[in-house]
Amino acid sequence: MKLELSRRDLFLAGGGAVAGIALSPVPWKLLDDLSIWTQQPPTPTPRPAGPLAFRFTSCALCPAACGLKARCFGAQPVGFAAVPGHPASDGGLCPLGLTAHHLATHPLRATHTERVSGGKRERIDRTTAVAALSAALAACGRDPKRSLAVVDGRPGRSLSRTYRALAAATGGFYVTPPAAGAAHSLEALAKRFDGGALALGVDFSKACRVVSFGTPVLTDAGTPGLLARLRAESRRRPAAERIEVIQVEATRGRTAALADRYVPIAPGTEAAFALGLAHVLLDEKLADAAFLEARTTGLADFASLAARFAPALVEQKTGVPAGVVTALARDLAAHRPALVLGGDPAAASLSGETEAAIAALNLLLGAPFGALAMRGQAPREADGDATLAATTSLDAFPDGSVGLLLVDATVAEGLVPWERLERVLATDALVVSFSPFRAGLGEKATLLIPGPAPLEESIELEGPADAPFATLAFAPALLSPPKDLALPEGILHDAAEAAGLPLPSPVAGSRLAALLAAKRGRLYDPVAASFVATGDVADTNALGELFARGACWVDDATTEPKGRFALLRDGEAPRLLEAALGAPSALPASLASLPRVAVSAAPPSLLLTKLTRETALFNAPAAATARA
Amino acid sequence: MHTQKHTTSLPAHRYTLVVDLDRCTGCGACGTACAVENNIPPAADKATERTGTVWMRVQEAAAGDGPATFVPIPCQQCDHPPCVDVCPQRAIEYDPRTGIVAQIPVRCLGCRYCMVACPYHTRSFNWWTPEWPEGMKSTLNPDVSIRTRGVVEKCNFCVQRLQAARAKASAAGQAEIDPADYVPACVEACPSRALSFGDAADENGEVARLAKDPESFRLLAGLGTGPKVLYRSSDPAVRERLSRTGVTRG
Amino acid sequence: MDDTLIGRGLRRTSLPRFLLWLVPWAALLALGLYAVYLCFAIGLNQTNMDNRFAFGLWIYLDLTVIALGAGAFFTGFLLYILKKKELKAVINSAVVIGFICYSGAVGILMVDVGQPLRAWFTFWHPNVHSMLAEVTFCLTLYLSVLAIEYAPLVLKNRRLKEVPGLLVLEHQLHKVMVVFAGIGTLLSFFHQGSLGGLYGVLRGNPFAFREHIGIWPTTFFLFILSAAAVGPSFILLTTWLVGKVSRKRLVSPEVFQTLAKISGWLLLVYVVLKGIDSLVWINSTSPKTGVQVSSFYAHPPFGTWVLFAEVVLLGLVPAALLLSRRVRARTGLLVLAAAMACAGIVLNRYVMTIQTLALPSLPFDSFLSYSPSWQETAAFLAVLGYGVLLYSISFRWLNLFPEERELATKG
Repeated sequence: MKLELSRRDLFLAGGGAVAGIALSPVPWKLLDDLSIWTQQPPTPTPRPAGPLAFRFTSCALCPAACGLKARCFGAQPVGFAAVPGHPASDGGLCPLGLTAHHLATHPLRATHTERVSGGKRERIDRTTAVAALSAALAACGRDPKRSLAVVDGRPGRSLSRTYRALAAATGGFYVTPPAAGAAHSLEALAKRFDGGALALGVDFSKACRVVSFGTPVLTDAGTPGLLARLRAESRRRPAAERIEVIQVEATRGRTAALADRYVPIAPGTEAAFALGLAHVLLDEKLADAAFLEARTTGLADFASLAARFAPALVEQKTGVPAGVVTALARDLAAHRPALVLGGDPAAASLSGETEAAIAALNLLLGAPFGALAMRGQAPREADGDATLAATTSLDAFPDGSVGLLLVDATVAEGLVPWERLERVLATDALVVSFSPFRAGLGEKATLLIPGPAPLEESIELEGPADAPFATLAFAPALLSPPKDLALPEGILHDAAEAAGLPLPSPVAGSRLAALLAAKRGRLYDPVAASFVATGDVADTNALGELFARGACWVDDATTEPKGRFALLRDGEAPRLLEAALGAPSALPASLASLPRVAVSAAPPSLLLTKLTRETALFNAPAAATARA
Repeated sequence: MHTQKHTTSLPAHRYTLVVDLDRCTGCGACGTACAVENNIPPAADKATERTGTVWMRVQEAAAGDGPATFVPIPCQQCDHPPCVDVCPQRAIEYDPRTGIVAQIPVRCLGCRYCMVACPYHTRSFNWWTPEWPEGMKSTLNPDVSIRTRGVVEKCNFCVQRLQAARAKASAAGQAEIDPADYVPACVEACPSRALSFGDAADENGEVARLAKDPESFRLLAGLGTGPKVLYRSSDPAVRERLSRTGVTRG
Repeated sequence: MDDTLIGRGLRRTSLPRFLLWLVPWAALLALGLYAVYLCFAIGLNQTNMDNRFAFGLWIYLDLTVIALGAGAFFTGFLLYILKKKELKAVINSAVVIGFICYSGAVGILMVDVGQPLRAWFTFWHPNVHSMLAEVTFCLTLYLSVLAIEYAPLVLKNRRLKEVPGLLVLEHQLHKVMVVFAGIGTLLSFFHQGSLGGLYGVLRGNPFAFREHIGIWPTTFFLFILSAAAVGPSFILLTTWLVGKVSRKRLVSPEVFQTLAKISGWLLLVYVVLKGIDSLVWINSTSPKTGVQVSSFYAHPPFGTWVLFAEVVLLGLVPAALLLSRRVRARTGLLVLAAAMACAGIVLNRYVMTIQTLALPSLPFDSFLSYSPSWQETAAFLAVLGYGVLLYSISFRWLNLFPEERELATKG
């Protein structure tokens, strides 16, 4: 039998097939898949680089030195969490630290030595860099008008010793940036002590009142979130035990907005205001008489100075109503311990006179050795002083006298502005930066010898200078640096040798040995979430292993030294009077839009545009509104 | 009411975020940690506060001359979510086991009706194609899928961490997860510990206790959405102002 | 030149002049298509919509043109189901306008969504609780119905009629037109209503949320009623406009009277029901959530004058005008009344889409403003250009107004 197919049959079969397929899942599933295939995002979801693991380290992006808990897949960190209980930060962390793992691949990261000549940036090899550096070093040794200057943002490291040795060998200068913000005003207070070198740190947990002259205590100063947390915790305690923050500043910043009280003052009149508070304290006998009697000198002279600053005069100078001045002074006296801080780390430091007034206020309130705790220093290896240059400041040498400027990677442009550095340079000076970024001071260098990026090297990291206890960590690296990265210390040694300036080799582990030998303090092991006494650690190997796990050493409490604070130093009174009564000079406000960027030597991760562009959180500070 | 039947009974777990407004300083650490954990891209060149992709929005609740209050507002993970009911494709799912409202980006049409329905405005639309600088791509979190342009996304209480905690528990032969293994990224990052997280269904837990505390309140409670974000403030004026439904002044 | 395409007994302008008339509308369409291309290629960041104003000009216009295009279904309902024979004069034009409005709306909707290739997901994973799912289903089905209703018009073209197969097809379609009119009415009922339901179900937005009757909020019914009320007015308006532009008499005066009366009565009923609904909203629905209605009108420029304008000035007043014999006797006033009725519905859709989103919801939110980008405006104008193009071509080559020939010979 022959099968004859007509066109009609074909149409019927075709139509039936179409209907049948349409009733099956096939076309719909294909359609489903098509829409998925055509809509793949241009960036694919990455595969894990290895098994999930948690590692601990510390963040070195700003002086706060917070503990970090890294969530890693294989060797790649993909995110961070805070470490509650960490001696340096106790759970503090900020957006900079949370994006630290982006910096190694930041678009501005440099991985090769570069030279800027004729306005153009060109890559050079290690040999050329060493040669250029050694030539400049040799020239420094010969010509006193073209000295070497080194700026080191984190003194006390073994690299710091190399810098100091170089400076000593060439008759140059070793500079560390001045303490910033509150640390600077605390230094000013500590310098008044006649009982030996003193370091003071702020212990907010002991304070009942915190008066801040422009220091962003609730946001960007010190450990992130610390005071905000302590204050919130205190609010559920009886009224007498609650911490209150009084912010005194001309422009209402974020801390002023969050403070319990905001006192707007005319710009540059902090000294007058502080002396006004001092006046009320002395006049109404509210000052800490016992402390003044036992621990200060020059009370009579100071009292006669403060007598000039009646609230009415203070109102005239600062714009703060006299009633507010009186009420505040009484409140501080009634709610001790009270402490006073001044200075925004991201802006210019307060004048010496203002800091003198703030120091005096702290003394009247009896703050030192209470809320302003005495603290020690993390043990260091012996200096070998004679061979190393002493620390000095930029003001110690004349403008135009530096032929070779070495800027360490740890120097933040916000703390040492380029304009200030430029002044010390002689013509055709060589500016070398060891920053891994073509940003900030790294961008200004004529010779860029990039070191490892954040998280690529183990960092010897001391905690903030104004913390109540000294801390030290050897923050382990989480990433591997690029293979052919030339380390600054190696290049410096080679260049020095070529210039005929042999440097002592760094002794590995000498700081660990010094730490063990000091037998002080405890180590926080973040993996075990517990402390171990330094005395219980067997040897430097065991200590090294602890640090490699992300441990942090914290000092013990220090015994109070004998001595007195000078309320007024020699010749200070007339200067202070003139500054407080004279025409005020406004300090330039901080221009940083993101917190802590100004005090960080690294550029912020590009992800932080989410904060600057996609939120309203970081706009220009609002105009001052009265609320005292 | 036009709701799905399974939202009338409460789920087995009710994961809840607790926000202590006394502590929040608006530092942005929570939003940053969220962006790092959930593969949210850096801002596009022309992105603004209103067009950016931000899952954990921190807004200043200004009160004239008074102290500022910063309010972190993630997705409120409502028990009666207005968004689930309105999505034409069922691209939003309310999980009856956990109470988490999950967004399904591969099913989302990008019609944005859910964004109109949400009174808390916690949803973001991808107005641009998400893009990362080349170097940042290796730092992305492999646990969270990348979304395309033209879809809506929002906070999901880091549900990928819940999944990881469940995998860990089942590998160890345990029926329930260890609560310490399931902590959203924002909670882990907050430096002033303003954020805490827990299961409100656990009657002996901290969250259940705080929910009954007079200092706790929820946003827009009058609308009946049943949000699972609990706000706390020791200041009665803040509580009164923020717990209102709607704005009573111009 | 194209005389064989133009219906017998109908006079149309010369082809070159006609093409010249098309040029600006084609230009608008081209510009709009470019804007649409930008939105597809670069993304919806080309618009001024944002995470707070997630719906903007396009959704507002979608709702408006669909309400205005309701004349299509409603005229069909009146003609085929209620047997109002005089409306035969405008049914073809109404269908074309309806087709333009709906196809334009669907086109804009495809640009408005972030992932248009996933549009079919609504059919594959439908959410039966979602008003937008209902809108999608009914809109696509109704657009198909409109296409089927449009087909006979095209097939009746002088030249196409000469093809036997097409003639037979047209005849078959004509027989089932009642069925399609019925289906169209049903579908329109639902989608006009669910467009209102889109906002009425928003539990999170006390400004938009209304009490429910069954599973539908009152805005569901109010939208249907307002669309039915404005449909005939819009037909009246467009017919008059086309007559003016073409300088021809297209329909006999009774048609306008019928349209105006129907529109007037429906508008009156709508205004009364809207008034009742508003009172319930003001006194019960909104206060139950803790929000007083007065707070919605505390943000300039949206004062209570908006509600007054919508319900009274552009609602009650045009209803009264349309019902007044004396107004209906004068074409100028009649057209004004119809325009006012349309304006009232346009304002109502604006209030539902734009004012809803502008109002703050959280106690620390602020009132927001939004204005469309040029791309959004251009895309909308493209729909206008497309509409005028399609209508002009239909008017020229199809018999949109059956009475035109008769009126032309009468002289």
